[in-house]
Amino acid sequence: MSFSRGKSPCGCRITTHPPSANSGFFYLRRFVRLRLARAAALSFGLLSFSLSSSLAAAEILIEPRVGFHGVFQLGRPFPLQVELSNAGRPADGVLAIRVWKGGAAKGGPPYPLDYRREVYVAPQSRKNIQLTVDPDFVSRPLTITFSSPLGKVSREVDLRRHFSPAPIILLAGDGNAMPPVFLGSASPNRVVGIGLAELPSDGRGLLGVSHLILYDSSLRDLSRSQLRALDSWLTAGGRMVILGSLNYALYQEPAISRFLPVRVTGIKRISLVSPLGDSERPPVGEVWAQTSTLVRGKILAEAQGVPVLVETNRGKGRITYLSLDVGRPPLSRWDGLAKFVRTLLAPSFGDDPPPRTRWDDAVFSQLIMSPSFASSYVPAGALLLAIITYLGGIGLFAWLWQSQRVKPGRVAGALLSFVAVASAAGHLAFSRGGNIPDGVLLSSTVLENSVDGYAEAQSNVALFSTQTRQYILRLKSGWTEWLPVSASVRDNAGPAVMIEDGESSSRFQLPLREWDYRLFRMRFVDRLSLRAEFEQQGDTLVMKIDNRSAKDLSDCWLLVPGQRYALGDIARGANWTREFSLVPPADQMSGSSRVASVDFRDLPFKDKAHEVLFHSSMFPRDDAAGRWSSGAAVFFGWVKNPERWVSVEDDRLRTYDYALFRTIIPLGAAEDE
Amino acid sequence: MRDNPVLQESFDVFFGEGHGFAAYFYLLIILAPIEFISLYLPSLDAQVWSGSASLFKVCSVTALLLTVYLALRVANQEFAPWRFKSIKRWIREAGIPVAAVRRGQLVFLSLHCAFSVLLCAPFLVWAGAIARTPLPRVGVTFLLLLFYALCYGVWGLVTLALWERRAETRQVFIRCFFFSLVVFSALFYLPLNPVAFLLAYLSHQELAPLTLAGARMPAAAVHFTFHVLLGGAGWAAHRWALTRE
Repeated sequence: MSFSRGKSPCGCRITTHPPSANSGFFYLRRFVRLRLARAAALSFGLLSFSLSSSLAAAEILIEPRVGFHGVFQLGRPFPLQVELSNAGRPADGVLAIRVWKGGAAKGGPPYPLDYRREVYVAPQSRKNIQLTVDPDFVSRPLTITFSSPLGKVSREVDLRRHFSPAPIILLAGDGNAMPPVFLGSASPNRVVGIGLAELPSDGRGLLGVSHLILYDSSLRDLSRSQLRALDSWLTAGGRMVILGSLNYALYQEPAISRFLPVRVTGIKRISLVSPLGDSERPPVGEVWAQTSTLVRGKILAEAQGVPVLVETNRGKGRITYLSLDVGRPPLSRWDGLAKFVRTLLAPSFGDDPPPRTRWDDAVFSQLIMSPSFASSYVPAGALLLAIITYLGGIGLFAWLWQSQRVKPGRVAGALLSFVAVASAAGHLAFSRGGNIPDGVLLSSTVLENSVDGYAEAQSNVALFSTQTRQYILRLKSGWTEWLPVSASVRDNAGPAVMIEDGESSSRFQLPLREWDYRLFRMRFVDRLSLRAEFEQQGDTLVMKIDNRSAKDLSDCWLLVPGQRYALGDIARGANWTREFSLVPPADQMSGSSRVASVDFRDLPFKDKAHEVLFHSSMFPRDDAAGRWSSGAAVFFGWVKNPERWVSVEDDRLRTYDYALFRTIIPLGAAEDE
Repeated sequence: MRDNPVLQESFDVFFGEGHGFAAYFYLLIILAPIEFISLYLPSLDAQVWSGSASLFKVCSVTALLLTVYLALRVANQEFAPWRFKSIKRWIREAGIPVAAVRRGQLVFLSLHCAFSVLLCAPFLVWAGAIARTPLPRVGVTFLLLLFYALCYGVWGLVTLALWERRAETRQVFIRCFFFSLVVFSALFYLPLNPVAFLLAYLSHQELAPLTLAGARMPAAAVHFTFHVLLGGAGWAAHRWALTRE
């Protein structure tokens, strides 16, 4: 074996020797071995640490609870409670729920929607997280994933055995004194008994619930968010039935008083024939009834001076109060009880939803094509100026060249410089500056005539992007519906994500490609103290306006068959009554028949976007047109500076909000005769 | 190369006397309004934007058609034809070698194409900025414009050399050639068409590959092979036609 001398790359001389105990090589080898051993130990340590971390992460267990005791209405949002049990290290991660939207029911391809919330789970503890999820179909499982830097745990939930096709009726109480609620086998609704603590803290979680029955229970322990959820559910169209009980003190608590249409004062025995008012059944006899005084709403039934059945509206919803204790004899043994409860839960008439606005690619394309709107996102003026300047410059160089006032070489050089500078400056101006935003967020909202200071709103939202990027839409709390209209997922586009920030607001994260757009429909019930009331008196329509809201209305119109009246602006605080003739001018009368429909043609609008939205989206000529085409009066006005329900915190995004307040009043049949 | 009399003559006629300005005037005066109007005529397909989004595509295609068409016409000496000496005179009377004539014509065609693309450059760069087209794609588009203008333009020189005394025949051939290869070729096999290829490139789309006798060839390879062969055939034909003189 031979060893040689040589030079290291750095130039210093390295001397190698045969192995001997005293040689430098021996020490070098020991040194290398030692280093290798340390490196191996370190690697092993790191591996052990990562393994132990993974194991610790695996100690997180996911326990889901779907809907209300496992029941929810398909097609409506429902609460999903996830219990995370952590038997290991503290875990700071993200809880993600993946549901599937679209599909055959929505006439489009299925696409995933993720709900996410950041969660910290302390060691050796449990944490309950409640989210509201809204899958469109249940043939694909719902996936719950908890991911943290330590690892990832997933669980799938098959929703097929949980859903109900019809809304659910919740019977909330303490459980031991629940009155029997029989709807009969023909009823598609399922009655689910729950404890009050199980009520969701998000109002949207109750949207699949048609009725909430409260009996002999205290709302004192409900959290503020649960009470807020009940409020928003009621204003969105929920129906609450409050059944009285012997424990009348429970009904005097402030938590339940906010819902009661009466102020409960005590209890009294009254003689009752039948709360149904039918004489065929034997009399019920002496029953306990809560005594009360009316606060709001109207008394539907009264016995011996005691209000028995009282009803009041809350936004689109309704609260029914029955002062009788149906859970105790003799009413609990009364054979007409089941029928009586069914009458309380029967759907009421006159709750027709407002005519839906139209919102699709065709409407959006019309809006985009309008030059006034296009000029807001394309730099037409700047481009025209640049083109004219460039052509003028080229013309000048041609003239200089031909006139030979300047040396040809200099002209050629100047021309090259001119072209280069024009290209570079134009590129900078049009790509980074100028008038082009990264995207445009547009919302077009129709506010229906308000009831009790609440107005139901349909908002159509469009987000389009000139860049490939992620957008985060912030939805103000209180929204009840958020539906993508054109939801085809493009290539390379990631899934949309709904980020829950707790109970206050939600964020919707959406990837868009360049020159791409998405349309959404949104519903909410907004506070708006603006009333437009109409009364038909023969050939005259009396209109009362009371604008106690903080919003001004502009460009207001009243349209009746054959006539239109420009009302101008209605400022906040305005309160007036005016009379309008329903008799069209003689030149519009054809024979003896009157003009039956309201004519929206040739309505003048100052803004082209208003015109497009009005004719194509808010008052389209489709099925919804029946509401105003057969003898109706239509009042509308544009809301100035409408409240923003969807926003994007981004300076590079331009936002346009349009809102229209409208009232559609069917005119009497006598008009047609 | 500056001493090449054929090139010098073309320079004098085109730029010295200003007869060639018409070609560049047409180029700019057609491209400018198309750019502005297409910006202002947005329309919406199902989930696809045109208008602002397609501004660069529209402008690129317009520039492509114009540069190719004008390259063919310039090579064919359709602008101020009475000011050019015939090839026969250059070779027989002035004693200029055939190779020098060929070089002079090819160099002038190349300079014309480059100048055309240069003049279009601001319009295309602005359109690219408005439509958010990445700069590398804009750069490749410039190269493609130059490539197509040369590949097709060389056939204008072939026509000139073949039928120098029959101006009408040349004009008819040039237009038939342009429409058949630049427009109608899309009817037979889309990837052969320069417009289709440019649009596919700018839209991030892949054209259908060519399958011949079980062998699949990528559309881009077929496209460039075809155009290199076309340009090469034009170059060879031009050389052959000049040697006939």
